[in-house]
Amino acid sequence: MKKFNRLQRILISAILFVIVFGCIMLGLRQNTMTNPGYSAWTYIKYGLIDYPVTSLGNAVSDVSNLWHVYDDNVYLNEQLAIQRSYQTMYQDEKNKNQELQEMLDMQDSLGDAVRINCTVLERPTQNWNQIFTISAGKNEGIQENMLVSTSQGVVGLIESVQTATSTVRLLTSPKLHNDIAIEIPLDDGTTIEGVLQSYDTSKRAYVVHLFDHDATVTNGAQVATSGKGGNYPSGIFIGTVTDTVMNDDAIISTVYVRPVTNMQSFNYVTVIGNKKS
Amino acid sequence: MKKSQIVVLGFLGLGLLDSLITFGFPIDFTYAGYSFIPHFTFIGMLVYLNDKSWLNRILISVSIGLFFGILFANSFGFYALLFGVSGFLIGICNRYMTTDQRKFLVIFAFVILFDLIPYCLLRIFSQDYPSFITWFLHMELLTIVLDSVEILFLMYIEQVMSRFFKIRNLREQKRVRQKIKQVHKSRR
Repeated sequence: MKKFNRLQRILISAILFVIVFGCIMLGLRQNTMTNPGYSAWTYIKYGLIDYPVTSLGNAVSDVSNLWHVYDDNVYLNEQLAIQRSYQTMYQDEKNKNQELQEMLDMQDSLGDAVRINCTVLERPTQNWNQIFTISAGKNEGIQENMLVSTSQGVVGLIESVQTATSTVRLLTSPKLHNDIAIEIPLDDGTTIEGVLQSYDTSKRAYVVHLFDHDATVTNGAQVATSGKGGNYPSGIFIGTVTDTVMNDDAIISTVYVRPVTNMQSFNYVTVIGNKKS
Repeated sequence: MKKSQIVVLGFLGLGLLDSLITFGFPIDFTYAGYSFIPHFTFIGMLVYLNDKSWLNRILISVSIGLFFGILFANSFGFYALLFGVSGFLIGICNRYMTTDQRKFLVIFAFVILFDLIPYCLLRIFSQDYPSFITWFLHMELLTIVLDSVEILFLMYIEQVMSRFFKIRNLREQKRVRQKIKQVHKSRR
C-alpha cells in the first residue's frame, strides 16, 4: 500500500477528528460542532471587523444626518416665525369678523333709515381723536351731517363729502361743527331732550346740555339721538350717562356721557341718515 | 515562512474575504434586489488543486470544505462533500486545461454548478423556492459576472505565487550548491 506522506497524514487525521467529533456531538444531541466554531469565528470577526466598520459607518451617517438636522432646524424656525405672524393675522381677522357681525346685528334696529356701510380708509395719528376718512362719498349717497356709527354706537358726523370718500369728524374732537340733538329716557318712561355740544377731555365724556333742567337723570341712563336735528334718525345710541352737574340752584345743567367703548379702534362703520323721501 | 503555511493563511484570507463581502453586501433572500455571492474560497481551491494528485486533491478539498463550513457557513458536512467532489473532478478536467482560457472556462463552469446544484436540490425539496428565472436574475447573474473577475484575479495570484515559490526554490538550490562547493574546496 502506498504510504502517505506527512501532509496527507496530517490532513487525514484532521478530517477524521472533525468528523468523529461532529458525529459524537450529533449523537449526544448537542449542538453541532459548527455552532461553536461558527460562533467563535463570528465573534472574532464581529469584534475585529464588523463592529468597527459598522461603527464607522454609523459615525459617518450621524455626521451627514447633522446636516439634515440643521436644515430641518432652519426650516422649522422659519415656519415657526410664519406661524406667529399667522397667529396675529388670525386674531386680526377674528376681530374684524366680530366687528362685522356686530354691525350686521345692528342693521336690524335701524328700520328705514339710510344705511351705508363702509370701511375706515385713513385715521391720521396726529388727529387720532378728531377725524378719519371713510370709503364712501357722493357716489354712495353720503351727505354732510349724517351720523357715523360703529357696532357699539355713534362715533362721529360727516364733515365733508368727496366723490368716493368722506371725512368724518369724531364726537371727541374739540372742533365739532354741529351739535347733536339727543334724548335720554327717564325712569318714569318719559324722555328728556338736549344737545351734545362738546367733549371734555379731562372727564373723557361728552358734554350734554339738557333742555329741561328739572328732570332727574340717573347715572347709567342711555343717551340716543332724538332725530330732531341733522341728517339722521332717532334712537341711535351715543353713550351712557356717567355724571350730572348741578348748578347752585340744584338744577341739572350739564350731563356727562361716556362714549362708546370701541372709540379708539374700529375698522368698519355705518353712515346713517334719514330715510329718503 | 513555509509554502504550506502561506497556503493555509491564504485560504483563511479568502474565507475572511467571503464573509466580509457577504457582510457588506448581504444576500437578499426576498429576491427583490440583486445579490452577489462571493466564492473566493471555492475558486481559490479549484485554482490551487487542479494540478495536484487525486488523493491530495480530495484530502485538501475536504479539509477546506470542512473548515469553511464550520467557520464561515455554519453547516457541517455539506460543504465538505461539495468541495471534495469539486476538488476531485477539477483534477480530472486538468487534461483539458492546457491554456489559460480553457482553465478559466472550466473553473467558470464549476462555479456555476456550485450554485446550480444546491438551487436544484432546494427547488426539488422545497415548494416555496422561486423560479429559475427569478433566481438567475436576482441572485446568479451578478454572481456570475463578479465571479469571472474573481477567477481571473485568483488565477493571476496563483501564477504570481508559483513564480514566487519557484524563484525561492531556485535561490535555495543555488545556496545549497554553493555550500556544497565550499565544502568540496575546504576538503582539498
